[in-house]
Amino acid sequence: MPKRSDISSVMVIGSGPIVIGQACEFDYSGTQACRVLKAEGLRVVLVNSNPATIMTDPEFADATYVEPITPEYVERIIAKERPDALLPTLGGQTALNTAIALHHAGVLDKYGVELIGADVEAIERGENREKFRSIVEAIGGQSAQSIICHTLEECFAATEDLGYPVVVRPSFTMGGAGSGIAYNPDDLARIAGAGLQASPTTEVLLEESIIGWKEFELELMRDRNDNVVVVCSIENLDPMGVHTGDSITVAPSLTLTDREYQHMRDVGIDIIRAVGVDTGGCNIQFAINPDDGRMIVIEMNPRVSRSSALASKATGFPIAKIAARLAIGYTLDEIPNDITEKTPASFEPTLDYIVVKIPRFAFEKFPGADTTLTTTMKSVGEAMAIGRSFPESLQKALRSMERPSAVFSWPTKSIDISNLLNRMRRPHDGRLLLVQQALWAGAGIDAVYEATGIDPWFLDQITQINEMADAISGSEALDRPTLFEAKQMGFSDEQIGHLRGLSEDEVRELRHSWGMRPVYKTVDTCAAEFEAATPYHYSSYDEEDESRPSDRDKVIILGSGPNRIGQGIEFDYSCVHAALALSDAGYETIMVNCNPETVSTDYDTSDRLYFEPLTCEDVLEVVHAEQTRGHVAGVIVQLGGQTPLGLAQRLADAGVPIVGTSPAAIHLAEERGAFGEVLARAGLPAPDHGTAGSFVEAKAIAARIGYPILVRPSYVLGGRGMEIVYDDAMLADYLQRSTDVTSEHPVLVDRFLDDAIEIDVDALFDGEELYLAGVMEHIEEAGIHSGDSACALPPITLGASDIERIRESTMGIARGVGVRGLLNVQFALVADTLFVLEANPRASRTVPFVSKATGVQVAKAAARIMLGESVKQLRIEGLLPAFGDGGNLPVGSAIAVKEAVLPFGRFHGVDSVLGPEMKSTGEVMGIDDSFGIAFAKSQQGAFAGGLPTSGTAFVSLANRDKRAAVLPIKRLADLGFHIMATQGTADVLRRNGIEVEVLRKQHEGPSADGVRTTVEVIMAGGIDLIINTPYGVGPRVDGYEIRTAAVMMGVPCVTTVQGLSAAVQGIDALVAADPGVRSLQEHAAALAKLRQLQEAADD
Amino acid sequence: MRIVNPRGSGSLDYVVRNPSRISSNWRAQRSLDEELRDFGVVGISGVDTRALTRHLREAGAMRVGIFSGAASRRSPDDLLEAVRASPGMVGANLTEEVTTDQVYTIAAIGEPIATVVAVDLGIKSMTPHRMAERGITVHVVPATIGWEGIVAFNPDGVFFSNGPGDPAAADHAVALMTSALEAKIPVFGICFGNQILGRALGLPTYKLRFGHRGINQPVQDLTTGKVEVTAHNHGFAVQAPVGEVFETPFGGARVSHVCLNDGVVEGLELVDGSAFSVQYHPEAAAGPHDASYLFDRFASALSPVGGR
Repeated sequence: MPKRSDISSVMVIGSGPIVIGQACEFDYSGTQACRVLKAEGLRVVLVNSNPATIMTDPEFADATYVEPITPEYVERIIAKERPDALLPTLGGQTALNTAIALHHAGVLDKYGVELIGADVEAIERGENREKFRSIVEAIGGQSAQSIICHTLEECFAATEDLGYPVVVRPSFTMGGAGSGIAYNPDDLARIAGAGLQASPTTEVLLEESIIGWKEFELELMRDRNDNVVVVCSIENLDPMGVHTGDSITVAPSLTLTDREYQHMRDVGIDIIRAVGVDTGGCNIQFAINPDDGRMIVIEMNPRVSRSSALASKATGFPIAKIAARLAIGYTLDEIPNDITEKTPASFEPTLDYIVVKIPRFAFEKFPGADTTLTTTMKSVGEAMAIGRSFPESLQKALRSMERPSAVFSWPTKSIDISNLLNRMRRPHDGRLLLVQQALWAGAGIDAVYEATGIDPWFLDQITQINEMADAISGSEALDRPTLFEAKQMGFSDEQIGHLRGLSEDEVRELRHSWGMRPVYKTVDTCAAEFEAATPYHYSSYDEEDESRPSDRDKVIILGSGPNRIGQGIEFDYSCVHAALALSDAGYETIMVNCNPETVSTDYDTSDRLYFEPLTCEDVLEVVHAEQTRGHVAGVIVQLGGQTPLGLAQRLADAGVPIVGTSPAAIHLAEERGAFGEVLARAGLPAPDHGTAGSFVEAKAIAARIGYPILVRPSYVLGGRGMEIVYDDAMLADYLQRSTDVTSEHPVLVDRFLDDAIEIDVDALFDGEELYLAGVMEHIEEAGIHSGDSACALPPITLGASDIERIRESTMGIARGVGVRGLLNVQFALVADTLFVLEANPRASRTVPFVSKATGVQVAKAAARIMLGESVKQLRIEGLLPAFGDGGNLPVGSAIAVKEAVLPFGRFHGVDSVLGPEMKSTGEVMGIDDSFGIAFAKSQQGAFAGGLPTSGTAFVSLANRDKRAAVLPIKRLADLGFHIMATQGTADVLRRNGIEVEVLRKQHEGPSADGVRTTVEVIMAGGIDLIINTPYGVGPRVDGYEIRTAAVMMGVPCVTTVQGLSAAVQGIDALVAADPGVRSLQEHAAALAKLRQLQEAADD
Repeated sequence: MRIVNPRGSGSLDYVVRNPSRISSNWRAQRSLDEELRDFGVVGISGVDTRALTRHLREAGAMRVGIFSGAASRRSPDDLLEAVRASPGMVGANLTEEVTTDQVYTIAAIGEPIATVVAVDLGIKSMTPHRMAERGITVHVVPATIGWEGIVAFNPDGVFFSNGPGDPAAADHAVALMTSALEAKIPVFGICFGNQILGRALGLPTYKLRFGHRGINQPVQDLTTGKVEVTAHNHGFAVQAPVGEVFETPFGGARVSHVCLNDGVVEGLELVDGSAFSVQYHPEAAAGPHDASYLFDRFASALSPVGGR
């Protein structure tokens, strides 16, 4: 059946901001879908609030709406665009839930929009646990025994049948949010209470525990002709009890017999048919009892999921792309397999390699968070590796984590085995290392299996790695066969060096002297049965090399590795843009990355893809392979964040041509002393600072420059361990906690600029001309990490002279450092002095936001400049505007507001107050003509519900904020808000004529005459907006309970006085009128018109 | 050097890159090594199996020798000579090497609905089991049996199994098939049996340059248009016109299934439904169960209560 002729325009809904459980894999799937639909000649209307996505690039859709993904906004877009169909299955749970809400509200019927990809009944059969359960039973499968509950009382009654432990799963939440395992009634009250709250249908499922069983997933696709294929099987190394997103997983499944696998496949196929997913993909999870093979169906996602992205990268079978084609009417046998080009998609990929995925966690960012892995996902990113054996793949994946502590090491065998066995009983982020260490120390597979439930097959494989380590360190000389065998088992040169007392470089020299290098194999969906047209490669130490480097001029782009807080999709965005721009400019583009969630690791993005860890060794080998033929014009390290930047010097030392800003120039910007000189030469002020190796030294510096000060360890990046300190006592406390401070690892002490306006600048520099891409004014004051701060572009309170000073200062730094390409500078404006806080000679997190807000493809231009093009030439070509830049946007330009999205809902007990250490996982953009509406949209995009327009506001302020807060609070009261406050704040507000109801503090408890505490009122749902500005940091600080309750109840919580002003402006705007919607294409056209007027006026 | 698996199809060696040194499954009874020894199958490991596959993909199927011990210390030229001297598959009649010596019977599971004679050309044990599951009593008979021997069982249908060798050399099996068609007894064939049906219908067979192997081959049922993912292991195929009914001595016939990867004929049937066969392995051991409906279809052809 060919393409349907009755659909000419399709709306695609994206997944919104990156959050735990819903990350850039949906940018990958959504981008694929948009590409396919456009290629099929359909008009594509896209809505996604996340500006950091590739899919929201104006070229991927005909009308791109960066607007909040709520039924209200999507309805406005539908009313305006009138699409024929809505494809909701590629934007995660967010898109699916929005589409269902629109259906139930009658919006789709009203505007004649057909839901394609899955119908509402099928989605509900897949997602509603009772319906799904009855389907599993009807097809002869088994479900875990379970009971649906709608109240806590029902939950307690249910445990009389199910016993403890019992699994709690809320309905209709994503990434397992709110689910957990209850071992006793207290656990149950806590987990099920939160789960009922998190479920949009106030429904949780209690289920018999199958913890410790083997866990599997199948990715299936079905077309409207009822053809079904199983694209991939995935096995979790961590048994049941750990969310699959937090598990180490392998593909294909490795410990099933054919009979077990085929049974699982049969049941999977029966389920997709019975649920009725008839044009798209789904994911089904299974548990198998290792003792008798009993198989239980856990759940299904009737849509493209995180696992689909992994399966696509693992097999080369592009699930989202094919799902989009199926949705518009094609059948599987009509769609060609992308990779072979000659065979149809109606087949099942065969893998002749092993894929290992390892999650990356960020617990160090959230002191106090429980690191136990449960059925609620907690990881923030993942890396995938491909190898010809499990040991090779596992070790490649471990070094892809980019954490020295993540790779296996063999320090000493005098290990307390029983201690390790005890610690590994609790699933947590470091468990695999404990397993490896225990096996190495001789714990035995049986004991480790008993403690962890990890299948003995995996444990034996890890044992083989340990045996290899012994062979490396035990052999008399490092001979050639031993080295080769070690490389086949995935040992890095560095690991081998550690075992032999050699440096990494010495091992590499020895290896190269024997001509021992990896070969590159191809991911081809068919285990070499057919020729592959797509060069998607991975390294292995094996016999035959398949890479066929071309003789063209090529550029190698290094990606950003696994997502983490501070380095996520924004960097992938820049890498993808470089690939697109350089391909257009005639280069062959080569991508190196190991993050399966991304668009950069889509084999469609660049000319050649190497799915490899981003370590010096692995990158050098790729460069060597490409240098065997043709000319490598250069390697780009500026776009993937700190990961490739950190490799720059070593690559350059090895003779690799780095394009753009040179490693020496990078050093100038990154090394504190050198950068100080750059600033001094340019006559630019920086905050007073010093370096301390002890508390005494730190105290002396503090005395010199005055409190408050900003302190941080010198050897980490991304704001890790950074705190604002207000007095000697806090300083002593900080240094006591930072036990590893020495004169070799000193603490950096900076004067903290209180009440400063923080400004973020992204610019392009070609050696002559500076293109100021964007100037962003932070809404929160300096001291909150720029990644967590909301910001506005164009800056809302800066004058033209401020911008000119920013331009000159940026130019001075760009020249002084020697930037070629992108430069990000952070400034602080205090009492008319513009301080330079830091400069990063690389793509920043804000590049995509700036690109969307100003309608200019900044990363594309940067890539061209790195390869030697001038700003002037790019203005002529049209990649940059002919006139003006992001620093002098015409008056009347739309205002874009970026807001950060924070993961506190995942980490109970962690204080939600913001500080200098970045904690956000993602961002949204709100764009409109006025700041108020743009800000309100950013809040609606970032949090369920957004800003309230009526109800009750609770206020509790630090003394220093009380004066500034009076006016905005008064405005809230005038808008009709009922104001509640703690006693001190209430006194001030009353004296200013604001009517206030007083609440008691948590430690005071409720009063005898019935006055409740703030937390009680919040938990009872009696507060709609919380304004709580804290003083200092740490969980003992007053307000912690309030903020924690706010997170639990999902009440918006403003923690700065500047944030309060912005919120009141937003509320004001919302009360005045419903915001309209406008596409980026319309914004760009309006801006172009304004620029023309500006240019004419200028002449 | 060809090792023939007495219960399986064709000649088998076992090549693996990384054999697992332990088994870890509740169904496991012994190690891979023990299993191979029991069946007398030679196994080698540490080979870049992907490179081997790519070589075969480029150069086509070929004979192979595996040498060990003193034999392997000869010169490469000598070894190559030894491989070249081994018999090739074209023209090989291997049926007698693999067929059963004696008749054996697989009892129907549950209430018997029909009786089938299965001509063992190298039958896999799962095949009669799949029939028995559907209430069919299966008498597995040596390939050397005469037609009268088959008739003596008074069967409701005759089955022709998979097996090794060149179908062009399998004259006796073709003669048995012809007799079955003439007798209008329902006939079902798998793999080699498909080629035998093809020859009995007067169609030629040929050796594929790239044989079909593996458990992920997309086959389209031309009657329904639906695609099934199937297990294949065949180096020969039947040549027949696709998409039309052609006349045979036993009435009109047509191609029922084709492989979507390369268009190779994967199934044949008489239009009246009395005989049909597929080139692949619906018994699926190992492999997906998508094509198990063919056993139901056979059961229906045998008995009005079949296909339960």
